[in-house]
Amino acid sequence: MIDIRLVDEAPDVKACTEWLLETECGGIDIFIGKIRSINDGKHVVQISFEAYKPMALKELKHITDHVSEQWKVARILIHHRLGMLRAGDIPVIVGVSASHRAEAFEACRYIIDTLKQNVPIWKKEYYENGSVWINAHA
Amino acid sequence: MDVKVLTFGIIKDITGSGLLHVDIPEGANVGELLRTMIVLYPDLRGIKSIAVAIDNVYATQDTSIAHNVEVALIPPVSGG
Repeated sequence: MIDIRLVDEAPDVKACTEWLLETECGGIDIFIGKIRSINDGKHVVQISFEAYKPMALKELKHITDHVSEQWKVARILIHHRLGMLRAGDIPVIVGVSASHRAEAFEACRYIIDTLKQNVPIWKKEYYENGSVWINAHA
Repeated sequence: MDVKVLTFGIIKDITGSGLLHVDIPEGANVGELLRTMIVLYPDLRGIKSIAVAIDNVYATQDTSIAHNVEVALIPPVSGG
């Protein structure tokens, strides 16, 4: 089973965890991204996330399709939050239920690493005196 | 021909709009569209890389742009 969502509110970590635990699987791996208050020595006031939603959902589906082919997994969950967030907020949660931990770890890492490389989602950091799109400049 | 171009992130900031109508020659490819965009918006040169998607699928420089497709200019992604 696959649960892919782009959400406007905070991901429900407990509900996500319970959904991943519902199976007979022995290995459940969950990655939670959390916003730091300091990045590159600068105090981050807030961060906005925007997405090209139809394509982002399509790219996330590509990722879960690949995971289902590559590893024996029972459930895959990807929830990514959009909008304005602050330090301590959770922008992303990725979870995998698999029979054993090796598949769960590998698949979960593949998902978050590939999401960061391919999925059309962008973040802009706001500081006390300015803002910058992350990764954008040459 | 007139092509509908969606922009995001820093590209939207530079162009000032999330939806542009750009005039390109009939049968032009992605590389030609990007060159046109840089002439129209020289600040796009300062971006690390620009990917192009046609109808939600990543395209290459050689991909030709048909009528009535949705083109998106995609700056370096930074989700997660």
